[in-house]
Amino acid sequence: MTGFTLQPRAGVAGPVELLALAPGRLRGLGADAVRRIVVTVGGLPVPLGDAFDVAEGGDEDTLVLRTEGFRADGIGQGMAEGRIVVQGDAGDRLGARLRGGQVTVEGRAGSHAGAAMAGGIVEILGDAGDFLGAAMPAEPRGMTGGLISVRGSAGARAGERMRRGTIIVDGAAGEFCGAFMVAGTVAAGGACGAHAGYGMRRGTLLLGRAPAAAPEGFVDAGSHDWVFLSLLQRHVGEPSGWLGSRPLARARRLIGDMAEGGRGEILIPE
Amino acid sequence: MRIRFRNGRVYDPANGREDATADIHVLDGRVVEAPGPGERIDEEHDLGGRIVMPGAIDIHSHIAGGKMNLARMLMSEEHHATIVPAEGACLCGSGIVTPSTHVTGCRYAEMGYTAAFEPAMLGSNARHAHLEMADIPIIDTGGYLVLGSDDLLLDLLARGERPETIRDYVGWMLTATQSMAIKTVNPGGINAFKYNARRLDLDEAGPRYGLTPRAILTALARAVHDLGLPHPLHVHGCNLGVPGNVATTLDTIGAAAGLPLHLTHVQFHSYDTEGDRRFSSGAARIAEAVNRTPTLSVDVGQIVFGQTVTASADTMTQRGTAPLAHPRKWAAMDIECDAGCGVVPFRYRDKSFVNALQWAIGLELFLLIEDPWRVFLTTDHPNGGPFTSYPELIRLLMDRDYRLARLAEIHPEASAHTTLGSIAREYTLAEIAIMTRAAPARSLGLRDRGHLGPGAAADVVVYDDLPDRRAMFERPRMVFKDGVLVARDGRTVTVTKGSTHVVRPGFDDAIGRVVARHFEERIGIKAKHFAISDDEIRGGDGPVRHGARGQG
Repeated sequence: MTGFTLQPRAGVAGPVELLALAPGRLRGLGADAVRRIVVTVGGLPVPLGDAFDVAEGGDEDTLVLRTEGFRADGIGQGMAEGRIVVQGDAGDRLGARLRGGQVTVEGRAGSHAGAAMAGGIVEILGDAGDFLGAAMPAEPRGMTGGLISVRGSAGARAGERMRRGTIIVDGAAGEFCGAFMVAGTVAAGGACGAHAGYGMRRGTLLLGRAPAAAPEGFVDAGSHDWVFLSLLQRHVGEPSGWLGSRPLARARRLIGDMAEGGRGEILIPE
Repeated sequence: MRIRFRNGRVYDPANGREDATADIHVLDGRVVEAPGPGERIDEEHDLGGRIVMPGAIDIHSHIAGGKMNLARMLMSEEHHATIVPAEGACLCGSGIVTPSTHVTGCRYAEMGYTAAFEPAMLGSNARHAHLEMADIPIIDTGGYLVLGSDDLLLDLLARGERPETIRDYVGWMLTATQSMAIKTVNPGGINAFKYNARRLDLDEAGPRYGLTPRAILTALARAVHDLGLPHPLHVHGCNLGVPGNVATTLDTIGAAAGLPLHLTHVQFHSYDTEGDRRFSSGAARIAEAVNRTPTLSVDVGQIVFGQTVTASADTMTQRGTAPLAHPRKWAAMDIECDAGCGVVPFRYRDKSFVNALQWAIGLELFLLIEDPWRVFLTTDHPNGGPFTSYPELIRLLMDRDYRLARLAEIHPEASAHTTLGSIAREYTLAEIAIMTRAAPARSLGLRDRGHLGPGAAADVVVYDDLPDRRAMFERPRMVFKDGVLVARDGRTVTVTKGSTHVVRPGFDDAIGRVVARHFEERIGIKAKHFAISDDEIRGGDGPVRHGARGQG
């Protein structure tokens, strides 16, 4: 039993939709059977083998995908187990609705990475687009479990409508970070954009760099020592990013959004 | 191009044919008499005793317009989950309960439907609705204009204008919006909602104009009658979904005072208040009223268990049901101060007492209304369920054993509260052919549709006579639209363009000045820009015009 490596053929045009390629589904299949799996290229159904060279090899239950020169959407979407490594950039919905396993992208990820995921790990070594760990379009609920770890920065609305789980962004998070959060933790090491925690009901926003002023709807609740922070560091484990880079204990706490009851918090370690 | 269908068992109720073994001849998209000997036949289909019917016509299905687009956006997760890739002839799209235009046309054609009518076109959205209908492939369409909460009408009525003025206004609006019929939705209620009324009974004066829904309904029914529109006033009455609304519905029938009326999705208007839960079936009383009122027709608006979305111009009712939304999201909006719109996703569950009883009430109505010429097969797509559930519905009507088996699965108290189990009636194929073909065509004044006599459009559907009626109606062997084979074995094979049907009654166009002044003062665009010209219909093809009654 081995894993698979997918190398795009020259001339793959249009976005490729890779919903069907979860390692769990590939288990026990030979390379020929994998080549017959139907994926969508430029909106049309195409056997995988027509668009990619499929090679066996590498670790069991691991799919290595090279994405240079084209956009691949839906990588690992809905996956329950196994491991996908993307060598290059990923398109939209990387690891969206993930239930287990790990998706790692060595480059950047598009919008809705880890959106509505319920478990597992999404690791992005470059930047992430908008709606990181947020809700899928038209859905009421963002991520409900698992870990998203981004070495670069994140676009707007990271963790929007999030319900449980952890998002770590080493760089900056865009505007409306943690908007309408119900629970869970978003930890942004760099700055965050305007309207952080807008409409937040519960949950924690951990900001490595203090905002110029408390976001609208938030009030200062003073500096305190938080056992929670060291527990969080221990709980997250790897890949912990900036969260694991220094000991955290004391932090300033802003509570809000007061319009939603003020049970959410922004913690700014000191 | 001459086509012959040989050895078919023809169900053509408009021409008095039931299970008649006959040949059907088609020349260039029209049904013709048998040609003389020696005439060349280009294409021949030996049907070997298969069943032949005209193309089916859906008299009430929300397929286009502002609220459907809103529903598509609100239900966008459905579109992500149900992408239908382009395949062969089909360009397709996505969606089940809010299908995209191409999916709408293909799914209808694949079920043997060759026409479907959008029953709630708002004046200010009519242009959009027509553009969208033009994008629906294969099937014919048309729209019913919603009136009854529009300020100019209410203003004219409140000022006591003469019935002729009302008639001319209705005629002007119908013509300007390229409509096929007039519909009224909770007459006066949508307007009253804007003045904070959350309920308006048939004889309750509205807060702004002091008009009762009864007065508005009667005035519109009379205007429609005086204009000679083939289809009577299409009524979505007051108090939709409210237990006890059976009394309102019976009063509404009385309000017509002998004028023809079509009550739509009457299932939602047939609720009584008996029993511990204060919710029971009023189907028997409604059916009895329909049976003794020959000027009345209804469509049922049957509910189907499962996820759907309700979309209606009835802001008042939709705001009321918004807390029941599943998934929990909804949208309601005013439309240009002249109408309303509410979209509420909903899941009908067979284990819910209320939903199960709604299901039974719909079937009771189908089975207790005796005249299939006056009851039409609808789910009020998508409000009761998607139109793709019609084959299942036909099986429920035609197969009592199947019906009883389904009845045994629903909420036990609901099955105890319905007489459905004791109704022995099973619809015949001839009755299905009437209610889905001949009767809608007659009611809408479509003279060359819904039948297979000489001169009719060659909308021909060939079915295998399967004992499982659902399977039979789900996948017709062949479907021809205007003489072109569009679907085979439930798959689209050719994508053709349909037509849009409109009615052009005569009226005194002096009313145009009144309308123009109203547009100038209140609406902010010119009336001549509001009016839709023929060359805007179907990408320049123009509409298929029908005359008023007696105009030929």
